[in-house]
Amino acid sequence: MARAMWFEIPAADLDRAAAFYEALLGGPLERDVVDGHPAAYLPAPDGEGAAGALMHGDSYVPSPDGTRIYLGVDDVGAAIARAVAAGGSLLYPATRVGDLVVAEVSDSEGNRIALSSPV
Amino acid sequence: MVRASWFEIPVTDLDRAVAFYEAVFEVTLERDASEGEEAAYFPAGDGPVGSAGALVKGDSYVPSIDGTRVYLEFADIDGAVERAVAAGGAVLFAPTEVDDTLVAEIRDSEGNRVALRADLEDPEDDLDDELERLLDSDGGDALDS
Repeated sequence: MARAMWFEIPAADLDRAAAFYEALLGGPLERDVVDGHPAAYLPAPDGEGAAGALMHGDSYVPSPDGTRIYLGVDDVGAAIARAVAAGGSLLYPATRVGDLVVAEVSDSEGNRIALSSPV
Repeated sequence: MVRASWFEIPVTDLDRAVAFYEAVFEVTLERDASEGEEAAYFPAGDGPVGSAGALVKGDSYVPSIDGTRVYLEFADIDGAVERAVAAGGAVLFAPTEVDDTLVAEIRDSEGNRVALRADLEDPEDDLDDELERLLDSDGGDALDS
């Protein structure tokens, strides 16, 4: 069926990236080493959607391009404010698309990350 | 606390990308045009695990080997990798066991890095584990009596 079961966000500086996502998501990230790569798991609630991690390693190169994931948040506007305060920047302002509000930010590593919440 | 609720794989040639993904995963993608962007949706399946997604063509959708990586769940990793190469892709990371999963990475027809993942845990393993626990507890009882 080709559903995404896991995602990885590349980090050039894992401490910096973990601090950014801790500020964005409001919770501590658990550190690990996966297949030799330093990792920090984004805490995931039970339910639908893919969980994921920040990863550091040779093949993990941050980019605003490539695959885009939509992280589900309670309030896109508040999440944008936290992202910008934590060193990110706004790439696409909060916009209503159907039943969702979506926006895109650049994270501390330069990845394009989409945010979505119900209207 | 966060989960990805949706993913988008950027394409420069939607027809070519649809042909590639339909060949690799042996599925049919549903074409759509929304917000002036061309898209093709992966079949969502039964859920509610994981995230569904789409191929999308648009100004801000630039394929890349870098950036965020998604792991698409697919049972036949070896077959998918073979079909990816036959369909114009390439192997970036050959199928490898990592913990209880088999993972691989391919470059798609557009130049994106896409990861594949299959769960290796055999449902029968759970039965074996359960049987072992029962036998262990029986053994403990026998020693106690």
